[in-house]
Amino acid sequence: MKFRLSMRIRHFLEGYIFISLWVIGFSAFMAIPLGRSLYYAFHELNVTSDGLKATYVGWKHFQEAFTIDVKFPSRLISTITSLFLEVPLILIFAIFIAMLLNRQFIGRGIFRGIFFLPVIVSSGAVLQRLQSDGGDSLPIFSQYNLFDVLRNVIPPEILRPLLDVLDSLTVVMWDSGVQILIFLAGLQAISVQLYEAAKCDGATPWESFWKITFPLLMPMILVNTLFSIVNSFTKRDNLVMEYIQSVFKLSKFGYASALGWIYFIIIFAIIGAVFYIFRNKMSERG
Amino acid sequence: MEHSLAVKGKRFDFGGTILYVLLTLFGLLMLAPLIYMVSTAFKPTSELFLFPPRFFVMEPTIRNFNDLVLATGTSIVPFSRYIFNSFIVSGAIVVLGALIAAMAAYPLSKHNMPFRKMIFSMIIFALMFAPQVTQIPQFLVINKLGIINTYFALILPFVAAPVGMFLMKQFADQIPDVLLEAVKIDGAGEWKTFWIIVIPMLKPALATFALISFIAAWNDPFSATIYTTTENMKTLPNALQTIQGGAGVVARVGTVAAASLLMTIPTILVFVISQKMVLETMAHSGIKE
Repeated sequence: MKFRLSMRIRHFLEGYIFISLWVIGFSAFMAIPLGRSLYYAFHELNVTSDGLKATYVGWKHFQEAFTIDVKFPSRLISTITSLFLEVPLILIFAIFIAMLLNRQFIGRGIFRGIFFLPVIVSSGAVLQRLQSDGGDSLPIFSQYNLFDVLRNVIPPEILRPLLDVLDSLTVVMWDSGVQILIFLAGLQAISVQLYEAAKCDGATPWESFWKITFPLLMPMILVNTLFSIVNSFTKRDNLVMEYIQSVFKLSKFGYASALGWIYFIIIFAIIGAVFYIFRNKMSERG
Repeated sequence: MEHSLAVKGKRFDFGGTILYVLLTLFGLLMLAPLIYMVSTAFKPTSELFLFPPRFFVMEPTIRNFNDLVLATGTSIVPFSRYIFNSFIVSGAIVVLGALIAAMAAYPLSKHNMPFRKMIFSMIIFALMFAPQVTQIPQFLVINKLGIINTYFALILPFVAAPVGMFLMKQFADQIPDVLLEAVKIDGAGEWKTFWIIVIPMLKPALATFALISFIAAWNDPFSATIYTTTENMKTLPNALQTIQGGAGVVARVGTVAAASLLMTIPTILVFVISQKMVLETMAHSGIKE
């Protein structure tokens, strides 16, 4: 009995040792700064000769954000709506492409590279300029006068929003490189024997997708949903992020921290909902 | 028999064609930003400022690359210093980050210990927080540690990355417990189990994470701007900003385009290597395709 207990404790201890490095790094560079910024959110910060000086102001910053500030609420709403449009599109597109790329065919490596290239490029400076010129969408479709060409065939009331969606689709696709890679890695982990067994039992590819691929990819879908949400929320060219950054530049640290926390709480609520949905889904499958 | 074979052949061809058509179609669209970048790097000044921006270059020139060489010659510290810094910082972030994330993910998914759930919720919590908001408190922490203007200031804050940790944990969950038990029965300790079972099984996740974190580290100008003050410690993205700013800003858009084109080359190399690693894992694990 005593031996068993010590085994268990040893098991725990070993686990903690493995995890400790990460926890230390995390506390020093994430947890402590997070706590500090919460503290700042309730304070007015002034740079004085002896460093930062904080005076308590209570909920003032939070009230200001929704009552006095004109820019913040509208930017917040547009960021959230574009999130709800983009994330499902990114996920569906990424699964689709990952499944195509997971098949055995000539030139697979090249195609994989092509689908990941935008991630490499878009973090660079050039695409940012392009994006700032074209706003959120790239004028690929409108630039080549597709609108005028197709107007005779399709009524303009339908055509205009259709082209807008297509324009933002290109951006969606460029954002999905990492997700495609994660799905690919997930697909590789599924044993081929499962598909063979299903095929022997007479399952169609459509059935084996929903009965094998989809449930086994569930953890990766969760990762990707989170990654896409976080990625689109914390992108530097995101409207709210830009705004918070500009408030920081004005040295209104307290107010900027408060904005950051409001933003954070909203993301928290959305991600909490995502987790809730996924947990129900996963336990359903049991 | 012969008849059924013929049908099978035909059906495969049909699927294959659709596959290629779809991939080519999407692929062309995906290539657009790269084409834009390459063509911008070769654009003469007259074409750089057209509105709306033109996709293809009409009269290609290598003047931008010449300008880049000239601009790098005039910087305060030798340009190779920026390159060296960038490689050191990104390399350390990738290697340490991947190792620490894998080490933490293993007990999180396989050891049933107290506080496990709490640590995991902490990761989720941290995932969501916008990095800009913690910048100033983070600076204060780094300042207190006395590592401003060292490589540590550029590396340490990014080593305990929540994203990588979450990714690793999801993959570690899929390692069969039987495998771990088998190794332990054969007498391997935790550390050995980690190296001979967990790391190889996590290879796809490691490769994917390495790639993501390399791209983030390689392109991040902010940490070097904030945590270092001497020109000696700046990284390539800073050098890029220096080229961009200063006197004669207008003329240098093309130079920046050329420089950022050159900057993507290491990223592409890392991509190729990491994808090879994913494929190799499959070969070693004995799973056939």
